[in-house]
Amino acid sequence: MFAASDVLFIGTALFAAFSVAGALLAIGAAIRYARRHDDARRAAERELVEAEARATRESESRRRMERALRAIPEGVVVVDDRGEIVFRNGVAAEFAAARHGDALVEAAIRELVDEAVSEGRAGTRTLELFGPPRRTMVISASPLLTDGRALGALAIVDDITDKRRLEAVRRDFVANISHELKTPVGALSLLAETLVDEDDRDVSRRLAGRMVNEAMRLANTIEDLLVLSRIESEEAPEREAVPIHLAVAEAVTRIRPAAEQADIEIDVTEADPHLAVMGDRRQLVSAIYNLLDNAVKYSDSASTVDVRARTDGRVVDISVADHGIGIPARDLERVFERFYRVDVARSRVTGGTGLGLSIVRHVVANHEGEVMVDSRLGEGSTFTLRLPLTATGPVAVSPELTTPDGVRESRTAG
Amino acid sequence: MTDGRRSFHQELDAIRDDIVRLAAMVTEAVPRGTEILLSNDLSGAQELIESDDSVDALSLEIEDHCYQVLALQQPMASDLRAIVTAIRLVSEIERSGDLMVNVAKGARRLYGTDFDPRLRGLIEQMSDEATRLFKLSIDAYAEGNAGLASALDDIDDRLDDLHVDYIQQIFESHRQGRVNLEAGVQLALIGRYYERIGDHAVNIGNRVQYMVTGWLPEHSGAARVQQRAREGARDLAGAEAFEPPGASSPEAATTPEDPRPDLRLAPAPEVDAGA
Repeated sequence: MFAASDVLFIGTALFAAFSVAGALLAIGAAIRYARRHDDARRAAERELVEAEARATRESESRRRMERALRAIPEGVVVVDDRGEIVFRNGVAAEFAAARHGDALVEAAIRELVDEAVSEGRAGTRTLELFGPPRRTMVISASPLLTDGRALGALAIVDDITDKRRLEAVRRDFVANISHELKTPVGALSLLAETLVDEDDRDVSRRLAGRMVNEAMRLANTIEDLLVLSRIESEEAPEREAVPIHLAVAEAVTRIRPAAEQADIEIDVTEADPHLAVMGDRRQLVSAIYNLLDNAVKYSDSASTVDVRARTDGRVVDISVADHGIGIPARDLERVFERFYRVDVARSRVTGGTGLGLSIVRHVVANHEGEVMVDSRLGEGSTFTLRLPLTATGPVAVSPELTTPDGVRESRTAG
Repeated sequence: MTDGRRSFHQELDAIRDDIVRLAAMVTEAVPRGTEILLSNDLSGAQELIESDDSVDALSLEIEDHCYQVLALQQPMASDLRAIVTAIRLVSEIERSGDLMVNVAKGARRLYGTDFDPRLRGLIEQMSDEATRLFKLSIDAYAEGNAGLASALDDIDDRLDDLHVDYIQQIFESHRQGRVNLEAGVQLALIGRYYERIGDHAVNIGNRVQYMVTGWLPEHSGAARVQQRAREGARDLAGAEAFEPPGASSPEAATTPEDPRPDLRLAPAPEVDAGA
């Protein structure tokens, strides 16, 4: 009984002791575990925060790079190592799913980046697009290499139309000015050489006549160059209210002898006498005169040149329309350049200096205006001066008056 | 099945992009050829003639691609029409490219001839008009715009008028001794090439209409043949009971998404007309 109860008691006590010890151990372990876990959690949290910050920094830097690529005025296309497009900036996006000329740009981009990715070779292609409008595009692609492996490729699309045009303007100007100045000087010296040894009076007279012509030609060119540089340097010309109808009449009076000689009628639609612009009267007359001069030169004989002024209340349009040979479309934007000739052969015959339209352009630029040209080959050209309107009196919006020649002449005189 | 369809539509998109690219090559060749002609540019003419080889190569490539898709995917309804249209367009576009090669060859034959500014002006205008028409026809194709496609025939009238003026002007210039007979004939042929490019643009428009609606302008002609045959058979009496067969086709045309009327390549009445 004793033994059995003792054993039972000891067993129970031992069990209880063990249980308590076990529980204590378990609690200790749990506390340690919890503490360790807590540390780990804190470390993880720290790591997470750091990773987030890193990710933010990375995404920010990626976004910054992306924004930078977007801001580039050239088209930028980035592809991955399989040639799939991963980035296009706004300019390049216009070529995606494009039609007509732009589809050829897109095809060139594809071809060049494929080459760059597969062969690691950089390439450039120049595309002349005839449009209209005419454009010159340069597409270049290069592989993006890391450790000798292609990560992808970059293509850049550059529209060099304006650059090309400016280059051509500069190149042609130098060539043309030397031509315009050297030709008459060369002719003069040759004629003079011949004249020295010439005894025949008739021949001498003819040679001297030719010399006078060449000298006049040279004088005209120099005179126009001086006018042009004066207009260019005069940033703020003398401003006064210039009535349009008077400026037109003055220019018409100056061109009339040449027009009559070529049997060309100048048909003026009289402008409203109240129409006026603020500006330099001499410059404005010279601009209109130069347009008339061209119109007369490039018209067939027995044709008409129409001059008219119109207003919409804000600007005034002075237009000079001829029925002459016209200007080819590809030359239209270049005719205002100094010494630019559409047809070099004809310019010798007409005897212009090649500076008239440059003078016109500078005059309108000085007057915050613009000059426009509309032309059809074989049908004629219309040049329009558009100037901001300043009325000296009340602007009547009455229909324009057409007056017979005699009346206009008397008005010009008065 | 779904995968097959998706890849089929990708193929279709690829074919469409290729056709747009092919057309772009030809559309560029039109003003380019005109400039070569008007500026007596011999080396430019040679380059243009050589560049037509790449047009030919691409058109062969597209055609092969179309045959492959036809054979492997066996498309139906509007898908089938899209492929058939692509094959037809390739030949229209390729032919237009050849016409510009003819212009370049004409420019070589005319080398050194100084012709009238009036003729030059008309050539410039015809070229602009042909370029515009061709671009519009490709716009219609790329957008699946049947309305624009059907308008091309009327837009082409302006090019036709210019062509008439141009021929008149050749006579006029010849009479005034400004153009000799040889140059006159060459110039007349060149005018014809531009005019033909306009016609090809109209054909492209017709094919686009067919692609979108299943209806071709030629169907009206077929309908008239059928009508005449029926009128002959009915001996004048059935005139008011007659229902024009062409009328049913535009109805089918308005619901191109509905697969049922699309299942046939051409609308039924016209198919019957042959029988």
